[in-house]
Amino acid sequence: MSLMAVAPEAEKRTGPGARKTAIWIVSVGIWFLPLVWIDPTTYLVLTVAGLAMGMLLFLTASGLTLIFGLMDVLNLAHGAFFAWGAYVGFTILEALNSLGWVETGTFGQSLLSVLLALLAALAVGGVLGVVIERVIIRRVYDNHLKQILITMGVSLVMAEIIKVVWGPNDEVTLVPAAFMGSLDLFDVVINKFRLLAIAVGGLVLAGTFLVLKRTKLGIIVRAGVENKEVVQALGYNVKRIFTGVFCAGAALAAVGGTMWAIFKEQIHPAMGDENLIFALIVVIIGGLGSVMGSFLGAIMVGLAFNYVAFLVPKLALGVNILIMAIILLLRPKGLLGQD
Amino acid sequence: MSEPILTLDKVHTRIGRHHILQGVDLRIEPDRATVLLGRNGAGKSTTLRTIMGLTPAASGRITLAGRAIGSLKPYEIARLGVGFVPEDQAVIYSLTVEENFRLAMLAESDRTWARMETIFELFPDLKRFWRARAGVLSGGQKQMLAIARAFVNDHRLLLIDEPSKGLAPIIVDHLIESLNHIKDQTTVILVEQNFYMASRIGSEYFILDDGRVVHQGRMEDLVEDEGLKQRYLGIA
Repeated sequence: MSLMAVAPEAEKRTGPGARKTAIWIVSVGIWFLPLVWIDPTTYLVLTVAGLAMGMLLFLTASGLTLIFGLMDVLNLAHGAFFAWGAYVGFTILEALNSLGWVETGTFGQSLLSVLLALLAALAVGGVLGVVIERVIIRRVYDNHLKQILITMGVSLVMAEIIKVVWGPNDEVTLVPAAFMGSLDLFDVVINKFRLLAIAVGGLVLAGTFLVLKRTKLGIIVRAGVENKEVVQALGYNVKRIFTGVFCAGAALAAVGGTMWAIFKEQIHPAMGDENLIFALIVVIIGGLGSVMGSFLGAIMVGLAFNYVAFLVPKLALGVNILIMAIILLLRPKGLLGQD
Repeated sequence: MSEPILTLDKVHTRIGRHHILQGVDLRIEPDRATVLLGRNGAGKSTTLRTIMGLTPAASGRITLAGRAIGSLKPYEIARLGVGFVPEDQAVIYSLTVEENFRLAMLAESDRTWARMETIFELFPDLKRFWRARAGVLSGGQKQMLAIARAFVNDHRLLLIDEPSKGLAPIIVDHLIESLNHIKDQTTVILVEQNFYMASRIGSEYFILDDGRVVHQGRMEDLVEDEGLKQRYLGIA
């Protein structure tokens, strides 16, 4: 017998068979089952809309799952970062519109407008994240009840500040000229901004994976989640790393907020709480802490919402809960959740 | 006598309401393997954790090569060249063997990667399972990985806590061989309950009892002193 034989019980723990089967059944079902009732052209239109919505949900859910999975912090203020991102993006677009860049600008000006709005949201979300982690969250590590209470409080305060700064009423978000309207590709009508949403979501997914799986920082962060003490003893300042993770999560939520604001063409102070519910559903479906799980969950929710809204409009909102219930019955840890 | 690499002077450590270390004095000479011995609860592991800053001292003075380190954070102490292998095989299960090593490398230089060649000679199975997740390794492999991971940097002091715990005798023999190689290259402080292992690695010893150093000396003398072993270690 080999001195270094792999422990058989450990091999069993890693068995990915059941997980993969569940993912395939649910994913393939959601993608292709609607083709039974929907004609192919409409199906393609709805699929693009579903992918875009899924990518936007992923932008918010990815930050939430990162913060929970890596830091074990239940951050119910995540929706507030989303709302702040939406309002910051709205403000930047208004400012750029006064320069003639948004509603009447060229393609370059439209693209730059969106980029500047996203960068501003990223910066504001990140700074808010750092401040709140250092001042508030750091005091309640390892206590979920306190985390829930204190982040709910933070969320309320941040929403009230939005009302003070921007007012309590709904606002209309400007859509840059190049992303207004639709493209007609072989009778398939595709909203231009949805294509941008899919591209941004894809970039965030790729970037997050690249950092977590291919960089030293990603290794340190993943190790810190599992054993903070060992990571400290290996020479890393875990507190600073966790501040960075919280900052990144908040910044991603804010980016999601700006994209959502342009997608929906309106914003209001309570939009953070509404989106938080979607994000929580996505994170639970995907498995707490799994970025790829959140991506799969977001795409599932986005697609199912659009297909069902077309087939049975009254069931559109309930379908998210239904998917969550089915996934949890099949696999209580979520699609890619770890023990 | 050479300048000590580490000194502890009347170090007291409390964990909650428990007064664990009650004035520990240590003087660790460089380039040797020193073993901390004692019964369960004597304060051996707490001594290592206090040196590392993981369970900070309530009072007393700790110096590393003349520099006071008692108030430093664990990551600052690690950056000064102190490696630590905890007693619970604290490898990161979700990372691969390769990632565990990359995590440990404070600087990924050519010199560090060159040390990997030595590590692979000492622990060939780590090379075999290079891409495997550490969580699927056997207990012996995890302990090898934990020790090798601490050895990957050019540490001036390695703190190793009960490496033989829960391991089969054949693996312990392999571990002794590897640790004897490691101690030739850096100063080692080893906490060990297994006297067979301790006596084959250490050249000096300190015996702790009730949070104090009660005896110290050369390992070869302790091996011959049946009375001392019986009194403090419970072995004949």
